Amino acid sequence: MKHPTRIRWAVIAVALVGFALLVSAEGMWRDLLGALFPDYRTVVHPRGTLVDFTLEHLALVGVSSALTIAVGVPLGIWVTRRSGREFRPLVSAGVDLGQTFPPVAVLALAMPVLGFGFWPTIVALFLYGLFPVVSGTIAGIESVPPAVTEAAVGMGMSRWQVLARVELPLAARVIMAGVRTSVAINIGTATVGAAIGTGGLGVPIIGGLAVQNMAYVLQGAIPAALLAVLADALLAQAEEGLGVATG
Amino acid sequence: MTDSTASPTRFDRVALTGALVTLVGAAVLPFVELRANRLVPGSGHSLAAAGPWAFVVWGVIALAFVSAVGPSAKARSAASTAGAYGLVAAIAWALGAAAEGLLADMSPVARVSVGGGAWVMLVGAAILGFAGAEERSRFVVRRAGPVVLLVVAVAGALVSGGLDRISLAREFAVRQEQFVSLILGHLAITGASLAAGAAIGVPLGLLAARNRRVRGVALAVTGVIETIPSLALLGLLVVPLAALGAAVPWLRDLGVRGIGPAPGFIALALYSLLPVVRNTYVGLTSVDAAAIDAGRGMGMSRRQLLFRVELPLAAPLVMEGLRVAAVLLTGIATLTVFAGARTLGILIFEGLGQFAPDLILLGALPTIALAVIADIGMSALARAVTPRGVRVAVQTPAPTFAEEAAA
Repeated sequence: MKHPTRIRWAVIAVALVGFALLVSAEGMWRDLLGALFPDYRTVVHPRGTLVDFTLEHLALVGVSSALTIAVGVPLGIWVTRRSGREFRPLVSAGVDLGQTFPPVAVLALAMPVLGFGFWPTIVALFLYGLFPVVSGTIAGIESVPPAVTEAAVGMGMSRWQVLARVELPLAARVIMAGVRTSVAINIGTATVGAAIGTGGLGVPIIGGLAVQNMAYVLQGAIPAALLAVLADALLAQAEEGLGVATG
Repeated sequence: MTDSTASPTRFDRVALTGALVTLVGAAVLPFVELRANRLVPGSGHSLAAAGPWAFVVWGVIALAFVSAVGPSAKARSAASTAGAYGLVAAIAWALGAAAEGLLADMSPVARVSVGGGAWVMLVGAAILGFAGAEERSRFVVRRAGPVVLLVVAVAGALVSGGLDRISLAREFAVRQEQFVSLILGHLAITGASLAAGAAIGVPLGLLAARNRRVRGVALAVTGVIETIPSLALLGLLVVPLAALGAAVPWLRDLGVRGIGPAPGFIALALYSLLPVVRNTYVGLTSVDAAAIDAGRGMGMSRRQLLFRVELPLAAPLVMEGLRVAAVLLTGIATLTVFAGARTLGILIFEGLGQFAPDLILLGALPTIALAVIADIGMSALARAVTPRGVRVAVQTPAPTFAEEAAA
């Protein structure tokens, strides 16, 4: 089993390097899009380079997802503890309801309340990203058979030890699945952030659609799609790895 | 952890949380915002702006705290439910009163918007209502509770009349016709693409259940589509459609061009595939082999087996897939406006472009409401199509992570 896993990691690593090269190949985009759309005067978005857009996008997703994990996992753990159990139905219902809310609507609603710009967008992405992470954490911990935790208690483990050494390792894979969903949503929603001035790969897409410049659209859409697929593959592989480690 | 029995608490911490949230909203944050016109930033005003109605709201908040410490669980539940509905009604009336009071000697273009405090208080009321509903935690109560609260709020608004002075209502009054046509457009593109997705996805799921190779390809491809950000997928569709429309005039006349409803429709249909295909596949493969054997024993043909045994038994899971898709598409439909479709997204992004908060709300709140209604409606349909004999057994073991992906 060791071999295929290593190969898959290697494929992902190569793909990531390829992606980095692709977005930094400014001249190639200019030539290729220029050849595809010979009638256009400009074929790359003037607001910045593709590297800028990609880094802005990664900053939005990275910061908001990090906050999401830092808050969502402890919250999910807390409602499965004795001290938070009373809040478990409320949190679950809130998370279920929240997941039916369209992410774009949440992003839009955050603007009147929090204002425009980078940090309000981060807060909106963070809040929306919480839903899958919290529900994944709750599902993961509750999937641990009671017999296993009882055995751990019987071995004399403290409650913290049971959590850290038994429950979290066994729940890790399901938690990771929640994180993966959350990151996928964040990458998608961050694209829309361009409409409210936070930059990112949505800038050439939205700008291109607005002025009917299809070259801009492709310049944003191709890297955005690749970034999302790559990030998902990376997290899927991590999820798989957690499964093996505990299996 | 394995704690045996929860100690019997003498107060309801969830209801107490709701009451506290409401109190913080009332005491700390602005209840309404007064602005010289619809675009400039405003000044916050506390609950006191509502005049005598402020006392009513404070009274109901006090009741909310009392409800959390009532003598029995039953009494607490009844009191917090009453508190939640009372709060929503009182907040609605107070908003109207505050708008009337503040606008009394202002120019006609002045606006009063619902402030952060009022929104937080409504969240507190929802928590309180949930604490009350928990005692009889039935499916319908949980899902429909927030919607009922919303209806009460709107009814309160209609009764009080003062609410039409609130900026959101004025924004609506100005755009009433456009609003209705955009909601219809939103429903049309969502419904049409969901129907197309079902027409392709269910047969594809069926093939996947029959053929291993189809399964691998279908699930992988629809999975990749699902991860692509919707704006990127829209962009990737607009470009070839524009080229196609330019090259083939009669296709162009049919609506196939870069900007227009076509790319949005196709993108939404593509996004609906993953949940529909996966759930159809899971539904069909999880049909009890004994049921199929029994059918075969009765002399059914393969066709009859499919239509009389397998599909009816898989129907609840297929519907569950359609539910996930419907909720997903309702949200993504807002983005199709970038490719020229006419949905509620127009209000959202026009509002964001003008920095007009109430216009954003006018687009975003109905979008959320539509998604929640789609969720409830499709859940009810899923229950309705469940064959009576398996109603208890089927508890949707479907993977619903398909909610993922792509705003």
